[in-house]
Amino acid sequence: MPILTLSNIEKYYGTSYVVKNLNLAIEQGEFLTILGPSGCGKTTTLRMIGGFELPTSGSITLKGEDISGLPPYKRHVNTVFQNYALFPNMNVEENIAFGLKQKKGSEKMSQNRIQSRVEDMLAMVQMSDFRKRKPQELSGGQQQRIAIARAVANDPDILLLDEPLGALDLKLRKQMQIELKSLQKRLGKTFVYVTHDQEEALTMSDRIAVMNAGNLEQIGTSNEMYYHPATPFVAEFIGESIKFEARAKKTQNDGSALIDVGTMSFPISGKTHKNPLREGQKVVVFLRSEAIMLHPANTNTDAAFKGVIGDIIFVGSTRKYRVHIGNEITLTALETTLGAPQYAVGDEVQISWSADDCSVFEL
Amino acid sequence: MTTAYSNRAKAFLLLPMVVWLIAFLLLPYVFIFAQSLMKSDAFGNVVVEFTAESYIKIFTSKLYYATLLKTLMMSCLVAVSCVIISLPLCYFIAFKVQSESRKTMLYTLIVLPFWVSYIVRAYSWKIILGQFGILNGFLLTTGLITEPLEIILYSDFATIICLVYILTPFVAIPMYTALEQIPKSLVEAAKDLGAGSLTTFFRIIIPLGLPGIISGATFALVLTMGDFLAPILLGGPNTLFISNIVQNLFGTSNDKPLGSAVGIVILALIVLVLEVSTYFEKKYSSFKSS
Amino acid sequence: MRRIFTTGSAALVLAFIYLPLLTIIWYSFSAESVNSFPIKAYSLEWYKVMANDESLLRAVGNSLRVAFFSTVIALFIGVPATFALHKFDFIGKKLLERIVLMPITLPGIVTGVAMLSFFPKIGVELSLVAVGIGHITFLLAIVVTQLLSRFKRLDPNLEQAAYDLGATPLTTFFTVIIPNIRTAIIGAALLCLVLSMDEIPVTFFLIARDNTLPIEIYGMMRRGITPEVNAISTLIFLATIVILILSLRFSRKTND
Repeated sequence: MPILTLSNIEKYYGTSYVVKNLNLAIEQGEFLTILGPSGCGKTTTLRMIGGFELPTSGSITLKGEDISGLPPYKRHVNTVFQNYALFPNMNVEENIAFGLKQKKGSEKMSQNRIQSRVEDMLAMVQMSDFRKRKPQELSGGQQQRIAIARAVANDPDILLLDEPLGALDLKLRKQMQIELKSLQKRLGKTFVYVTHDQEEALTMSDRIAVMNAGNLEQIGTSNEMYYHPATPFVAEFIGESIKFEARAKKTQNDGSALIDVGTMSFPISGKTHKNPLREGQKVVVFLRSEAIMLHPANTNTDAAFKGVIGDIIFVGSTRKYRVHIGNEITLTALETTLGAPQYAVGDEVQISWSADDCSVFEL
Repeated sequence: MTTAYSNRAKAFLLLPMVVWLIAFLLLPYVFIFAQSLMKSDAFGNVVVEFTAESYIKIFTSKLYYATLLKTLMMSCLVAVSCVIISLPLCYFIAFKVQSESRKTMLYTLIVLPFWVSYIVRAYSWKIILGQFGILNGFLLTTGLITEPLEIILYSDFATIICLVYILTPFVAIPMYTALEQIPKSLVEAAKDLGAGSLTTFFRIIIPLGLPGIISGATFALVLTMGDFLAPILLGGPNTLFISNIVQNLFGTSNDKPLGSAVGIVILALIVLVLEVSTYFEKKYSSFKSS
Repeated sequence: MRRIFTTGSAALVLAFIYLPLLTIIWYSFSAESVNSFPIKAYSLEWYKVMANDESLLRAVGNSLRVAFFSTVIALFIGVPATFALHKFDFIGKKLLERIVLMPITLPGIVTGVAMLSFFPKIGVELSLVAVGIGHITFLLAIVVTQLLSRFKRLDPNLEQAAYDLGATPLTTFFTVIIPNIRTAIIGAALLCLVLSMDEIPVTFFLIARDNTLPIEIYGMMRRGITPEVNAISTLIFLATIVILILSLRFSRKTND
């Protein structure tokens, strides 16, 4: 049974909706990332789980119990806020102990137990030496760790993380991604993570839920998301692709077909689309940059297209070529810097890709 | 986030202040409005009988409408003087002083008198303008006059100087805030495009700082219209502001309905001034309100 | 040249602002019984007179008491209400925000005569209590304006983080919200104290026999210029500077 279920969740502000008929089941111990552009409803979804917003309709179930109407302080979930929200009037220890001190009745904790729990948390995030510091005396990364320690201290059923790495610089962000992932493995806790950064989502998550304009577009593993996007939005949002409209012909029973773009055509396999295509069907094709291979003009290949190098962007480990095929299509191709032949602007090249390596959707 | 507070909790937070304001602010205002529509008998007792007599008197008897007009003119004069005095200083601090700490220090120097007691500041001008005061003493020793001038103190002039002095910080604070908000890059851009200092000042700085200047001038205008102390302390026998009339009607003249009516007229005028000023502040504001 | 002009005029304006105040301080050390120029002899005579002036000292005591109680009560009523104004939307909110500001947007004299007319009708006789009630009413405007802007700058996530960690609204208010606006509350309190100590227009109409300090000084000035006023004014000026420095120190504290 999933630990958290969102059923038919809708959220309206006045007449404009932020989240539309959302159904989501989150499994115990998984790292689920809600990914989407800003304004897609991902943060609102997280806030509804945390109890900071109430859904207009639908229900939220935590461990089989309906928590839809509970205020945040009665929910066994904790949040790591975007800007950490550490209490500036308390030091590191007091921040971590804050939630523990709020427990009442049978859950009430003795001073000693609170202290030892705080110690454990400080050790967990390797911040024991900073226990007496005020949050504003810590660096961004350190504040981040304290925010995590504070949220984990209450032993929540689910930890919610709202773009927690957004304020950190690139290098620290990469390091924290690895730390967060390993922390989640070690604790065996369910993490629900919100970000607009697809790379972050792909690296850390067990599963990703992509949202767009209040709708859940697709939910699946990084691999599924990357190689088998369910909707044109996902295909375009994840990774770097070029997109063009085309027409299908010579459709076969195994799903393979020929795709016509202007005066050219290329084959696709049955893996590239879900529903069988009709003859003459209008389609939209997404082609990933790294799937495109370039070959020198004079080599003997069965490449379908010839093109001319437009411009070249050096991105460190790879080189990005913009290649014009006739006047109609411009592709972007990614080639590794090492080993592969290098081209100059104006060079003629041959272009190929495998019949499996694109995504095709009916229009 | 509306989930955390029950209606009872909200009422608990708000109600004391609401009740207080109704009992001790709103009802008194309603009361004098009602009183302004009544009349007073020969002994100064308020007779409960509704009439517009007091208002008619204000707009037909010269004492009242002329004083009202004079107060308005004096208020405008004070406001304009405050602006003229504050502008160079605010401009200087906002644009000519480079170091942040020096800016803060100078700004504190403008704000400080704002905190100093009204009565103390009014009093200082009595020493300066008095018969044997600094100004007369100075003029006598330099030989510019041979007899002490008596008309300096206890005159309209002394009243205005005192009000300008007291109200300058009220004008300077919003003015400085507005000038300080103007991005320095705009001034640099104007200079880069060939504008001289004067052009930059009148075409860029003044228009962009206008909302702050208007709001400061409004403070001075409104506060002068309601002032009754400066005329008593520094004014001559003929220096009478409209507020002095209110004070007299509630004191020696003892005609509370008429006093209330004059008070209500002052209120109406001030509300009008505030509305007009807000309209222009919004109209001329180039930056998002902060 | 132009530089000299701007600097010069700025200096002139500063002189206009400060010379009168310095004059009072200078004259407070005069030994003469009238404020004449130039001063021929110096002494601390007028400070002695002041220190022995019973009615002046009583007025100082009255002012301090009124200021203290008015400030405390205004904070007790005003801080929770400001928090509610900041957090909730309710019918009449805009109206309430305008009403609370009335005592500082409308002239003191009208508020004064309104209270003078109405207070006796509800059994509040003219006295220091009536003065205190008048002061609290306009100090509420100060508390609300000062703290509303502070609440707006308070990170809303702090409150949510407290709920998230299991704190109830009441606990959150006292352990997270109040401590984090503490310096603003102290700043507002200092401002309230000073304004109450200085208030004349409303006090003028509500006072009975017991004078507050500014009303006492007003009386002294009406009776004729006595150099004793120089001494008390100098002390008021110095006290104001001390309070201002205190409030600046509080408002500069970065953790607020």
